Amino acid sequence: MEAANTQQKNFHKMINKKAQTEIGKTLTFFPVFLIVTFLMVVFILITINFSLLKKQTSPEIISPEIPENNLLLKKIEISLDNHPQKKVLVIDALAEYIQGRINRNSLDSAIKPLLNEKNNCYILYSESKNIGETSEKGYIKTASNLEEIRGNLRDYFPEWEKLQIKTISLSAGNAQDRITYYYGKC
Amino acid sequence: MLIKNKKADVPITLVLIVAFALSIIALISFATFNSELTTQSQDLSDMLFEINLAHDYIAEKAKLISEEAINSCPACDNIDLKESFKSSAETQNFKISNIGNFFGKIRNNEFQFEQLDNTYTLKIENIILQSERNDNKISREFSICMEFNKNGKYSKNC
Repeated sequence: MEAANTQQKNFHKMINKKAQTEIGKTLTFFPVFLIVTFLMVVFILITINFSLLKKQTSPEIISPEIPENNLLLKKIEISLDNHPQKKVLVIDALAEYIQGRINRNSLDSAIKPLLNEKNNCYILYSESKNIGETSEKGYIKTASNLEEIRGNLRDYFPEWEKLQIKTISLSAGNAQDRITYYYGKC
Repeated sequence: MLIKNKKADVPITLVLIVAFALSIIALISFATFNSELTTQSQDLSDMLFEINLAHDYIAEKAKLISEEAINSCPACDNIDLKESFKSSAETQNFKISNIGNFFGKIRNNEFQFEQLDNTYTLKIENIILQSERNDNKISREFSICMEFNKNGKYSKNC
């Protein structure tokens, strides 16, 4: 009888222990589950924020430049050392210019004949070198007007992305410069 | 029994640590991957633009040099015509970089410039252009074959 009671007591003890283990497991699992869920939500929110940050607000319009409309490949006549009125390309004249062999006035008067009703405006802008002896860094030229650019070129064009304004790194001899150019309608 | 229960908590704790570590790694890779893609895209775009500009420049330059050579030597035979082309090319070389081996080919006589009846033909083969940004490189190999009339004006590609 006593033995049976002891066995029953042990059985109850074991049952209690098992119940305690289950409660312990449940108590451990829920906080961990909640933390993992919370971290997942934080992760998703931060990821969404990252993708929003990386999204371009004003996508650049990329359109291939037609060689016929490329200012740099237009033929002009310019006076060079030992070659009066030599036929060259605009990019050649710019190479001579950044090497200091021709001045802005020569460059300007050589490019001016390219202006017509269809293409009545051009822009030349240097990032590192002042064009000419004065402080302006570039100029916008029309048939009747010359506007000098003294600050940021983009300030002069609110609709910058819509224009086919290009920038090239030009290296000639020991000289190097970044030239921004445009040729077309004003 | 108690020791066994404590051991059972270890995998759950590991899940927490691994989930946290994975979240951090994923966020870092998201941030760095996007910026690298933008830089690479800009580099590739610049290289393509540079190559296309050099290609068009060489084509325009070949027309200019040919016109100058033909007009400066209208009654020359093919040998003198070739020399005239070489000397025009020398005066038309403004030492612009990234235009490949175009002027080198002319200097080394690796070109043909001939007159047949009233048509002049210019052939330069295997002109190589190259553009580099960091570890990326684009090369383009092409040939020129152009025909000009007796006034030195470009008529068509042959």
